[in-house]
Amino acid sequence: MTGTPTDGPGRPGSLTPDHLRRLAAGARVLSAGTEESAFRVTLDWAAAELDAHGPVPLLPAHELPGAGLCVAVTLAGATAALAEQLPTGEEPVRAVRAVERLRGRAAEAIVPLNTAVENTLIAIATAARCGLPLVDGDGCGRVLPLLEQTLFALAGHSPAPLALATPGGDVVTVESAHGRVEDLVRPLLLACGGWGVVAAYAWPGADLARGLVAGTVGRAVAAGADEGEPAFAVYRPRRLCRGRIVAVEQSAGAYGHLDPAAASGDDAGLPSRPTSVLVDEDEGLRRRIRLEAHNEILLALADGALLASVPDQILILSAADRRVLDVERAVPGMVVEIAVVEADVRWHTARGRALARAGHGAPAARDEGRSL
Amino acid sequence: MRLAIDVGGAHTAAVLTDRTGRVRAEAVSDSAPGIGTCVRRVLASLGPLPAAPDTVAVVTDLDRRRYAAPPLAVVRIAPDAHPALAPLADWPAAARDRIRALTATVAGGSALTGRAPGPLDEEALAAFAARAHRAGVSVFALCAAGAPARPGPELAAATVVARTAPGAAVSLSYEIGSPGLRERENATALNAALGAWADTLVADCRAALRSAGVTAPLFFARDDGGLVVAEYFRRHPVLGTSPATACAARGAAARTGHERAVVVDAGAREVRCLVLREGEPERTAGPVPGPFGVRVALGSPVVVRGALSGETVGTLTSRLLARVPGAPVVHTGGGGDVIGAPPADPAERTARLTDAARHAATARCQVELDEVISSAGRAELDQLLDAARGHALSRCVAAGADPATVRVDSLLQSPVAYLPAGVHRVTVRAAGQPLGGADR
Repeated sequence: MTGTPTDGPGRPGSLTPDHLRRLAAGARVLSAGTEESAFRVTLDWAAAELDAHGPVPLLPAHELPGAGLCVAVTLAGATAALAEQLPTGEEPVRAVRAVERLRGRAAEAIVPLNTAVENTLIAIATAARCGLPLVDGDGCGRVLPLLEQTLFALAGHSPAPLALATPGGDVVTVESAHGRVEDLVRPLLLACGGWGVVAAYAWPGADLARGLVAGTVGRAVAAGADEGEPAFAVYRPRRLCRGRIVAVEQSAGAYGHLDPAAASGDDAGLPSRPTSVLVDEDEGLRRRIRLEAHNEILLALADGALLASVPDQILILSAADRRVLDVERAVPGMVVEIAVVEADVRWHTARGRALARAGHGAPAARDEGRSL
Repeated sequence: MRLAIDVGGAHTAAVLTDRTGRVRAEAVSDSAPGIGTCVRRVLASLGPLPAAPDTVAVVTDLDRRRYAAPPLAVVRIAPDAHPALAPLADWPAAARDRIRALTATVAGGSALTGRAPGPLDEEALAAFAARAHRAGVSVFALCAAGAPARPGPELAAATVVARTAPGAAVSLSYEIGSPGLRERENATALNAALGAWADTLVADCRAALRSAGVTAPLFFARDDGGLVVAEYFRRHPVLGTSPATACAARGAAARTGHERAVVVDAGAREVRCLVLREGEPERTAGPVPGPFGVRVALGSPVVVRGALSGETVGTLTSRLLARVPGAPVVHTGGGGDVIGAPPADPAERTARLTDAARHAATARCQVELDEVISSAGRAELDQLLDAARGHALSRCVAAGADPATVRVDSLLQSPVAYLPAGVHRVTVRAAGQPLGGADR
């Protein structure tokens, strides 16, 4: 277990509705582009489950049940679909029960697949409904779009056996997928209205621990501790520069996403248009910083030299209030800071980098990611 | 000639402009409780008009007077959801006290991809509508899952309601809100609840205008400062519950020549600030508390409110200035003295009080359309986008725009993340000059 965040002193022993509010605020600090309606749905849902079933014990990573089955839970599909076809609340239980049947034993802890705020909230709702503790950690340490893009996978664990439970009451299980989980699950999601809850990576705690980024749930709670002003510092950002946005350029290809190649590839569901943001440093070396973004900022260059790149998270902060700015909200004239939050070290290995890139359609990376 | 009247809490302002937008007459009078009195008074101060106006626009906020909403029936057409996500579950208690509503969820609706999970449960809907009808409810809000992609289930449900509860007023969500079921449902329920407010407002304004000999078509300002004709406003009142600040801000921008600014609107009871970029108020991107504190996502302007004090204004403006660095602070409204705004001579004072009316006298009709479309390929996408443009243009004409002048201002199209490549969210804004002539 080598996650960057560790079990801090402020980590709560169990999650109450009050912690939930803090977590919801704190987990959004790094994800400016959250779909608001869906976020509210998952927040109200998780709060109702905590109200009904009591606080969820938050299990420190070192107390993971070594031989006990841990199950990772995540939202799969489109948050926009979740906001339109609301959950019944049964989805996570059905998914977990299906995986338990396949594994032949009961789950002993729930773990969020990654740090996306909806996923953490759904994992909490799941733990509350199942009467299980939630592991303080996740399988990614950040957010990546595909089910296989986890450190669990990097540590050699298959997401299968996997179960998808839909709001319509269907449960679909995948027993072995040979690296094709995403390809199998995506069409299923479409058939069921666009979203479902997936339970996956059902492995003994000791095995799963090798892919765990510890402490990320407690970290989100800490980040949201102050009413109104999420504590960005909790994420230990490294400042790259400060300057003024001089240009925002969007790729002109209005139909780019409909190119047959893109439509059939991993790029298919990625939302935004490729965008470049140019920032003139207003201090120090007065460099010209170039940010290249597609859904997230992929690359930061300073006068052509590499400053930072994925899998690290590159962020544009408004200099005035140090809040994370969505790339879509970046406008020329704004004074901003560019900061980077480093991804878990395991994402920086050759295989880790390749896996992290899989969602962005780099063919070599895609193949490597799939072969896991 | 175009006439506009801004009815505020303390002051009512009227402005008459000519074809070129030049001010031909203006007046400010004290407001009275009733809007009819306000209109009559300000028209009297304005004196005899040099010519009969072709259009009249009224700017007024819902919270100027306390409004008692009629009882309401809210129907969600969707599969059952978690009880915590039921209709109205996210309303503040105060809103539920003020708007009494019967609610039901009946099976039906569709997914955003257009796929229908099951047929509309007409029987359950008719039973609920009959129960509401017997209970004396004649105002219905219908919201189907997937309506931005497929309005069909809502239209079918409206037929059932019309049959079961004859004479009922029905608001449909696909006409009102954007994707995101709960916020759209809330907006639709509010829209239904506000129908009686709009009806009274229209009738009172019309009567007062007629008594002054003004019979031109009547328009109302929307929250973003655009106009819609009275009949459209009566069907979509939720779009125009707090237009005063946006109108004042846009009027102030035109007066001062600052298209990019932080505008401070000092009213009778509070100060409201907003950010203007290219002359347009900055809009909210997600759900925010709307009328009665109910969360809606209508893309209305971001208005920051505070107490009438110099200190509050300082805090608010410095916060907003961070979003438009280097932009000037522009003052509008009548309460400038209280907050320590730069002193105003009488002409400047009148100008600040008439900003909203001046804007409304030159404003265009504006509508938007929010749809989710699914296309199999580029050709079909082009067709669907053309259809969306057509819908927006015809909606703009329905909102009172002269068909010869309507045009699409913007079309935003973005693929819905993690749905297949052909599923797009489309937002179209259309605008046109308000159509003058005889009032309808």
